[in-house]
Amino acid sequence: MGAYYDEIEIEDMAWDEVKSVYHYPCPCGDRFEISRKQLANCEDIATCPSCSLIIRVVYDPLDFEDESPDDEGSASQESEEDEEEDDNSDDDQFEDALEKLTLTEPSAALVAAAA
Amino acid sequence: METQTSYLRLLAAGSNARGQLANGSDYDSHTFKECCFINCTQDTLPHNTLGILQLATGANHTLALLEFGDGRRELWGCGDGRKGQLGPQYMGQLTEFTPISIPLYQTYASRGYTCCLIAAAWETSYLVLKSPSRSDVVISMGSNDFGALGVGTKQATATPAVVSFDHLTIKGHSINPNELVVESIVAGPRHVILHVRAGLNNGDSLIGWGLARHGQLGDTKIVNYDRPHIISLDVSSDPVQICSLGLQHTIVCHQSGRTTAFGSNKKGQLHRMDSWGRVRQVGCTWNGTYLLTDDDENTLISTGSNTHGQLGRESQVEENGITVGPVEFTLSHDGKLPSLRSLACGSEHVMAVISPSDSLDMEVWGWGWNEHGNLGLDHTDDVLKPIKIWPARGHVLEGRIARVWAGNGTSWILLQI
Repeated sequence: MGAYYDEIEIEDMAWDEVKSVYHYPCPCGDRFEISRKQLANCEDIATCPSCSLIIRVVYDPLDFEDESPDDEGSASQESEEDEEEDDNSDDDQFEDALEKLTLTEPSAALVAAAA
Repeated sequence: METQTSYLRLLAAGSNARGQLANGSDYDSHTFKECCFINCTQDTLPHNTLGILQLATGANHTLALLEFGDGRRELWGCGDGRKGQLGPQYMGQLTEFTPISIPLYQTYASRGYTCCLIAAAWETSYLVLKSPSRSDVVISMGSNDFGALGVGTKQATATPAVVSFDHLTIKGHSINPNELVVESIVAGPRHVILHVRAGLNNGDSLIGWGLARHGQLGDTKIVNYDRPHIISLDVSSDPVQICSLGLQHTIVCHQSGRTTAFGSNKKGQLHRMDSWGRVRQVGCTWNGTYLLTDDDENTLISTGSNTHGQLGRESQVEENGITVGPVEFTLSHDGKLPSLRSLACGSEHVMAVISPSDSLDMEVWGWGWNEHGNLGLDHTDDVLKPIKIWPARGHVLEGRIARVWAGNGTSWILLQI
């Protein structure tokens, strides 16, 4: 209650492969975003770039504690897989992420538009 | 009617970061501005438009299904198309309403299909095509987050696709793909529900997909459904009248006037929502529920989050903080409530078309979260109780209020002049 617009469980957030952030809808049409690095640093506040609303993300810090300071990647594409325990080393995570990475034509257009 | 004696104007206010208000810019609008339709006379709808059958709003895109005097229907859209939610032709941003062209749709159109229903989730669009004596066709396009496309997650594609219902069985019988009839389609930001009739023997069903972990699709055993799933609600004895979807909850209004509510109750959005009868309209904000009951009092009941005045009344302080009560419209000088004609719920604001007591005039009243000027009052302060937002002070346009819609920080008024 109080300052937060809402407290959101991370399972309700979607993963943006291109921007490497978890995101959640904001009622204005923009979205609250938070990175793995922020979650690893126990920062759990996500803001909306377009308005004053903020949310608190509810998650298990253990899922992110092996995040190295500069490592933004290695998250799965579908958010329903975020429950799994991560036992791999950082190198294995990176290789797994490359294997899971799929680029389809619309995604390529997304990258081009964002560039 | 060959001669057009009136014409239509669509007005919009609120969030506009991707041009979803179709006013030619990507700046928020704190007052109602006319929407632009490409290649049309300034600020009016296309020539010979009878009306807008449906307006669907996503995060930053808008779809409008137009009906013309000769019976034709056309899908127009604006706003954000980067995820393919406006079809493969417009993958950027449109700041004016533009006819949407989809090759997949053209294929069906050449076989006699017409787009009859539309819906929009966060970044996903849905079209229902109908053809006489053929089964309905459901097309999805845009983002596939949480399985929004309904075609499985193996295909992470935005390309328009036909949603298949072949894998479903109702009461032990497979759905006959030749007998699918979609009565309605309604989408919240993260889930979509279709009211379907599938053949004479199968009767009515509710089918949905998308985010499910809060029970908004009937059970919580699974995080999300990425293909159509039958909602296990018995609607045979008391068929569905209308559905409305919030962010994490669903309200079903039956023919009898009773309602079934399921999904998240974290904000009290389900609170006592199944204890009312004679309900004739339902609406959902992201975290609230609104029921228009068919009683003498013409009461609009609201429950759920009231952090920005969304409930349109002062919350009484109760033990668990959850309250249900009537939206507090200003009484007329003789102490009477206005007549409520219709309701439009946005993400965190609400609009209602009313007639003042003993009058046939129509006005639009609004309340709730207003940070993007979506109530069109030329300010961005939240409005805690309903106030008149149309006719608006200083606006010279007159005309009969034909329809209102509300989206994600956006408000829409269709005027017949």
